[in-house]
Amino acid sequence: MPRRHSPPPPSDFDHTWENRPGFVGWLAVVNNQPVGKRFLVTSFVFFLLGGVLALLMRTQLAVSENGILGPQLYNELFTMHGSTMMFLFAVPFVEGLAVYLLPLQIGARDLAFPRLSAFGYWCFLFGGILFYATFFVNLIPDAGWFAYTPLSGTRYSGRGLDFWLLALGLVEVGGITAGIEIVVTILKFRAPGMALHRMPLFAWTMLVTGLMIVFAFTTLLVATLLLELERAFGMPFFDPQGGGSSLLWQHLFWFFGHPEVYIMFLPATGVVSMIVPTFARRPLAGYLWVVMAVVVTGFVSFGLWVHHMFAAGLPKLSLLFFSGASLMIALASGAQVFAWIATLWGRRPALKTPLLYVLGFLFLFVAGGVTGVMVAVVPFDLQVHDTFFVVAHFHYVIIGGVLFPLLGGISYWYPKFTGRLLSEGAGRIAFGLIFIGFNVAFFPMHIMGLYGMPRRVYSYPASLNVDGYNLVSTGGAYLMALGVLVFVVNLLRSMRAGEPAGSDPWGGGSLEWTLPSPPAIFAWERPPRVGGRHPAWEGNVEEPGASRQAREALDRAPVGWRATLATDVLTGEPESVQWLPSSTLQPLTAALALLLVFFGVLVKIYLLTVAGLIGLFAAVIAWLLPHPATLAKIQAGGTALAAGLPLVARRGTGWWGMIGALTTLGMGFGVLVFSYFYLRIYSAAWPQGGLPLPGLLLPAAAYLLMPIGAVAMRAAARRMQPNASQSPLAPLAMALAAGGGFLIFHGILLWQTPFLPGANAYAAAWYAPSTAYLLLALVATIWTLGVLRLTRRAALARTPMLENATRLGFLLWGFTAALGVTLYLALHVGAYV
Amino acid sequence: MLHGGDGVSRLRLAAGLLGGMVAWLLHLAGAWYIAEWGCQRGFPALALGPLNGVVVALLGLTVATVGLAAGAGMIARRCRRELATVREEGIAAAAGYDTARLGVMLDAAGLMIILVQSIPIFFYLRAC
Repeated sequence: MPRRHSPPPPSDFDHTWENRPGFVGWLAVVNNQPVGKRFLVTSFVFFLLGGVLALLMRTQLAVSENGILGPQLYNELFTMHGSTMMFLFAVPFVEGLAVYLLPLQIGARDLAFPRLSAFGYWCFLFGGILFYATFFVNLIPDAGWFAYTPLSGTRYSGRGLDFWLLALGLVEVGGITAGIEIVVTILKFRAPGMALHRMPLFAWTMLVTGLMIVFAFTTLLVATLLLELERAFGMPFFDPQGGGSSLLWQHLFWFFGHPEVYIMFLPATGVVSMIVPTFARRPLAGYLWVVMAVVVTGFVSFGLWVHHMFAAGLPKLSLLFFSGASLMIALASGAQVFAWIATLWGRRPALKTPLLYVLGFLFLFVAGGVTGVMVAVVPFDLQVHDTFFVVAHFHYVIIGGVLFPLLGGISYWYPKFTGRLLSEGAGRIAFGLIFIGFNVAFFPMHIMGLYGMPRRVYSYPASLNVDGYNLVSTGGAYLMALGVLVFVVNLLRSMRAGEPAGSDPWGGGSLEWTLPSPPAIFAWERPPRVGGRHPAWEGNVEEPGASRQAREALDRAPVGWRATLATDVLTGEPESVQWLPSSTLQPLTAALALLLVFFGVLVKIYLLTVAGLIGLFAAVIAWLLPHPATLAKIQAGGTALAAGLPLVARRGTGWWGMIGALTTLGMGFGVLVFSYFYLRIYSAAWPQGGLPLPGLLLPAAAYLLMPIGAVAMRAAARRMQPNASQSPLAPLAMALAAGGGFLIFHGILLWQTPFLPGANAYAAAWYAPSTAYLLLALVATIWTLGVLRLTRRAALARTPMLENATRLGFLLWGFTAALGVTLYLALHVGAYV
Repeated sequence: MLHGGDGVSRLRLAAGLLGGMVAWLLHLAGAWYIAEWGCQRGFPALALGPLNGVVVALLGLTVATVGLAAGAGMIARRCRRELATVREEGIAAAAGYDTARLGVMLDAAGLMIILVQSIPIFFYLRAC
């Protein structure tokens, strides 16, 4: 079929993708490449800061009974070191790698929600700054990166812990948004022909990681909010004196904390799975087995949290289930290790720096994995619990299993980021120093641990006879730091002095190596077509006419607005043309408003919190409801496209984004309900303290309004369809009335509840979900109001975008209604059972 | 339905793909809850012959989730068989075929982990 339009002049297309100049333009950037680079650079800076803290600790421990650091400062340093490495380096770094690389690797022009990734970056940056601001106001948190209660309660921890919780909250929001972004991008923006079974393994690992982030980070976000509610408003979720449980905190924290290890590890394995085939010059052995291992690891990682609590006094029976699951996950990791070895077997790969890091990783990770199997066995774990053996184990896993592949990944993709090669000589020296330094630093810790040297203690007696091991270990840490320094100098120097890399310096097989280095901001002028798992090796492929037509229609087009192809989840065939936003300050504004919310709680000026919440709502509304003129422009541009693809697919990015948001909300409410039942199990009486049982009839009437609103919203969605004859205004108004009615009714009932949230743990656990639900209902109501406002504009009535917004509104309402019924049954009816 | 009307719905594919892992997750969460709740609330006192209440509940849960994982595996296997003959005909069938293969592997893994995880039940028939 002939094309109806010739490509527009290059300048128009380039102009569409240009960003605003100047500092404001810099702040307003939303494209994946600059945002990804910001994530990478910022998190790497935090890594260096965390490394300095580690060196200070190792200096203190170099000899017994050392007095360089006092116990308080040591506590603060190990809290900041662990928090920095886990929250500010590892996860944001892999997110940055994904944000930068995924569109290049799967053939998209950007991510699914560019503004969301920019928002995530700002949240991460503000959270990181808040973390380190504690050094300047002398409020450094000191309860460990795990913040166990009651140590992290107000009785034992000062304001520093509020900084820790609220900074962490910001970082978690950034993480969750990146998780949703990554998942939807991988599912919907793959190049035509890139069916699921042809996806690069880095994309597979990021798909699983993105989903894990959504579940794990949401759990931590809710847990940290609950702890802050306890600290700021006296709601005793974790305080046994108020009927709470400190073990509940451990359950929630480790339900996040263990998957967190795999959230860092899986992307690292994805990096390895990209580097190994390139240097072995052949496809990865057992592609499908590796995918299976990645998926199994993703699931099973959520079943291991209790193995951090073997010494906490849980029933023996439940410990053993988790011990079994902990042993089983080694099989999944082992399958990947065998696949990498099999791929390299019999080849003579060039031992370039990226591959050196991979080989180092294989050695160290297997060593860390073996000690992991050891501590998965309950009796052994009880022996080495809280000793340096565990420190050695997790550093072998995290540095060996995560940092080494990531340094290899930086070395591998640096030419793509900058257009220049790193110095190979300096790269080898850095690798040698880091590898030797690491082993010298951490291997002796196994022995110290077996001798009984406790962790998290600032000093140790000479009678423990571990001085020699500690001195060697400290020497190794400095050697490793020297290696990192060489690595950083190499990065900086090669930016100017490195040899030009060309598009594919390693002969890689994945799609990004077919692009110039560095790529254009839109990456692909024409979306590529993929016919196998290694498009750069396989060359041109035949394609169905419809796919070619769709790609040609997007060849340097459309102009006036940014666009990319959205494709089918399973097959990767073109489905719709996706509008992408241009530069905007909306993400920064929303992140600043969120910062204000948290800052108000921190300084206990709640007016700031309220102002921040209003600002956040306003920013999100402005974000979700673009100006009608913009909608009209997109609509007009869309009809000019030649490919016959719709602007909005029925299961498009918006739908998947909403599913991601609802999954996050579902998980968040799930954590609240779980906490309620957990506290109930361990309470002698429920409700505690003789508080009255909750009402049944009036709350039922209130909660019933939400299903009524959902039904009305469904009717509105049907009437939005192009062939519908009736106006959607009446059902929309009905949904709005139902939402408004619920807000008033439920608000009054909450106000009239005969006890306060701080009365005891029951009251706290009852109020938390009930109040959070009120906020959710408010969001659903505001969504309806927005749709109603746009529907009243004749020019927009029954446009695909508005129809989509109504359909998404129905999803939100349906979820809210179902959740309301669940909460009613759990909190009201369940209390009588 | 997949493209070309080959009779394999995406719902079946998804069930075959993730059923085994979901069954494992249900087993672990359920077993943990039964152990904590049952041990706390005195379920061991509810004897059923030589077995206490916790063990009976755990065995029931194990049987149910093994059935779920096995059922998902059968769905995946059937999808794979149905798509084997048409997988050369188009990308939808090829993607579906590999997804079904992956499902068989994942369901087998889920089944295996459930069984390994259930071993403690038989060791701790009377203890909590």
